[in-house]
Amino acid sequence: MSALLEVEDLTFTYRRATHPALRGVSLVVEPGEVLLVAGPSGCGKSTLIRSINGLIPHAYSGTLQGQVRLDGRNVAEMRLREVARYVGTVLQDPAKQIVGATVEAELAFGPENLGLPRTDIRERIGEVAERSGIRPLLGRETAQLSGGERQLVAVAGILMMRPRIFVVDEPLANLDPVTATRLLGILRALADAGEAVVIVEHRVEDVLDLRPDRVLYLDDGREVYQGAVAGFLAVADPRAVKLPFDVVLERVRQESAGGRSPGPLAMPWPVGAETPRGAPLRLEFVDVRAGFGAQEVLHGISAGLGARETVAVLGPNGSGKTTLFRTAMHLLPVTSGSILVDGASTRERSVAELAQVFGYVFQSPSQMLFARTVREELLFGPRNLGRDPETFDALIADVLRRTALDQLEGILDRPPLTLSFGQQKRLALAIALALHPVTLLLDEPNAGQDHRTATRFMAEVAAIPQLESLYFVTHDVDLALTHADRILLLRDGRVVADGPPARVIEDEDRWIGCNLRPTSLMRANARWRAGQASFLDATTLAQWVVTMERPAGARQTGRGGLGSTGR
Amino acid sequence: MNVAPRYLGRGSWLARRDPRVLILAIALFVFAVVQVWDGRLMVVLAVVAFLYYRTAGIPFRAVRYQWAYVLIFVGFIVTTNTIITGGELRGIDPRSVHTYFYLPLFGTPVSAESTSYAITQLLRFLSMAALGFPIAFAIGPSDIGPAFARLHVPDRFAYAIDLTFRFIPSLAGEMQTTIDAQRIRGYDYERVGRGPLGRIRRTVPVLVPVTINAIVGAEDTIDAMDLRCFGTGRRTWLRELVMDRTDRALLVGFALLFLLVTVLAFNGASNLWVFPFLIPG
Repeated sequence: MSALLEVEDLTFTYRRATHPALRGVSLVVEPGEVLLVAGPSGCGKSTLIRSINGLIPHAYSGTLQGQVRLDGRNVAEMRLREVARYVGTVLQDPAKQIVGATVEAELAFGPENLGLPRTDIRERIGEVAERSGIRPLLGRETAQLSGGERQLVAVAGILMMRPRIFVVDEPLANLDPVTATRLLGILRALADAGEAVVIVEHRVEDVLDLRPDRVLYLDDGREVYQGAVAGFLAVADPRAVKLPFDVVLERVRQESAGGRSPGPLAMPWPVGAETPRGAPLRLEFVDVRAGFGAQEVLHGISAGLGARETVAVLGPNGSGKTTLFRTAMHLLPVTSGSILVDGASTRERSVAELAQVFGYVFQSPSQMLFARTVREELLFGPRNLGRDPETFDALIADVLRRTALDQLEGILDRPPLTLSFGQQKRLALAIALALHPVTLLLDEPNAGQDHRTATRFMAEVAAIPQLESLYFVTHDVDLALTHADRILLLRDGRVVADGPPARVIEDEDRWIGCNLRPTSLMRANARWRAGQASFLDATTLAQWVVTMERPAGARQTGRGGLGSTGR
Repeated sequence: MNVAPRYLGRGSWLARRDPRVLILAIALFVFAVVQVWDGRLMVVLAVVAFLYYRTAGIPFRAVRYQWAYVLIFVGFIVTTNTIITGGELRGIDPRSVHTYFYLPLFGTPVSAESTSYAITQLLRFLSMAALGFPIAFAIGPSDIGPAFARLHVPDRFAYAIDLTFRFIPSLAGEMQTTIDAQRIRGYDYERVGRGPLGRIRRTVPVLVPVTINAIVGAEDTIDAMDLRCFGTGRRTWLRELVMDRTDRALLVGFALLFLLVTVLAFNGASNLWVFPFLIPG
């Protein structure tokens, strides 16, 4: 009897591409199995998904070698309509997947296309809404849903097709931890009911709740590892994949026992303590209310962010995090209250003036890019502000160097939108830096990036000279705890906690009430470094633990040491 | 596509009608008004159109920019058309034209007749717009596709129309984000210009990124639709549409209006009528 899904020695090269996106990948998935596919950006995950769901070769042309078989039938010889009965795909961005105007219309879309009778479609809607817990959303317009609700509706839309294999592409990218757990619960229930799940995700630690049966790790289109989760955790590079802390610690212990030094106690981020009392504030919100039309999003926010602080803004989907930044930049008017920058009201200041204080980097870098070349893109801001053209060459060289883009050959003449996502993200940062801001506002700095790229990006930001402060919005709890001096916790447009990470996480009920989950790194920091204001990232903490486990005379410390503070 | 079309007429008398009636009403009305050059009849038809528009309950404040665009666009078309043609003189003896003056450069006569022609044409276009607005703002967001499908428009086209109605507001949202991205780099949109023309000029620098992002985003949407078997066979439309007595009465009313105007057109309403107050002395 044939397996539900068989991929046999699959190699695919897109038309006009010079290198294959996938090279000789093979796998088998049986009913009830969960396969986790991991790997860095550009490793071939999307191509594998397209090969399984039939978009390759039906919608994307190129050279295909090998086979994908569903229940023994070659996908290349099946009609897309037939493939869709086997494989349901949830895309990374649910906003692009959802086509129905209302939740009910969205759920009905697939079965309508299959020409099912109305009574059957209504029956399925009831059943799927119950199963995925979205019954209260049925009458809502899809445009009014929060990011998390939208993701659940996208999954429900696929459940309506009753496929036997669920292919889910980075479902956790834009979800707060609790919504992510809910989604993983739905997928686990599907596997328990005998369906197969193929999930692509960078956040390996978070996906372990799904109890995957096997892991396929890809790099540069090739299989690097395929097998049990335990085996994967034993070989995975913690710098490339986000792993549970215990796994990282065990790896560092093994390396240490094997004679390899765990390395000095390097602090990759200049960790600051709580802003000293009386320290100047860069940005202050005084009872700020703002929203979209009649819908108020911020309900009287009051908070002051220091001129030399790193502040992370955390909170559930739709809690007003991005809105807070947008009001600070005058991109959204406040309906009441006031915003002060360096002690002065911003009421009379233009967006252009504020841009010289705050460099704002959007979540999606492509939304910032429009010029023909990188050079034009970088000069758009300085020209608008009437800066001296004589300084442009030096300015460009400086921001390219500070964002490590100068290492790309011919970068200045390249069209910005042809750069990779990570490069676009760095270009967006360079664009912001070209205006010489003293503070950076980053919206979801690691969204859409793999663990290694995201870590590198944050390290590059940390290394920017003359930058006084950094404020960022994120769903990534570990990123916030390890990089910020201070956490601003929002819920329903209100500040529910504000303080150093160690103090903000003290109240676990409040933490969970904001759709945040305690992570293994958070618990490990609390266990090993109780009483410390700063949090260490997994590798550094593991090195610290291993060093502390050594006899006192054998310890060494590196740059900054544990007591380093501030920028 | 995470922006909803603005359902501004929600709950109004017209919004409660079967959406097919709104589509058929404008079709019948367009066929009627294109036959008319008699300004008196056109005024009556314009009154009918705007009374119909009122029943859609669309707040003027919410659509004032759209009306401004329509006025500018229609004004431009009518003016250009009048200048090029010198005014349609159907039914008018060229010797009895009341010319005011000749346009420099073009040499086109500006007369009581050409002005009547322009007024009639302007009323025609504005009346048509008055019946078009309710389709955009008084049909439920999920009813547009089913309405066209039940009018025997092929499924693919019906759904394409439905998506277009949602794609345009999405594009507007995308455009606002791109504008914001440029404002935070010192580009001062307020300086570029105010009013409808200023707004058009302001959009020029954002057209490229918005278009490219829209194309990239549309590819994902197409993939998502393909993966749910869109366009692979005959589809069911879950939404059922039922015409009630009021719907049928309204439809009959527009059909009768069309017939009446057709009869009147055969009896002279298709000839240009000159507004008496435009005739000199």
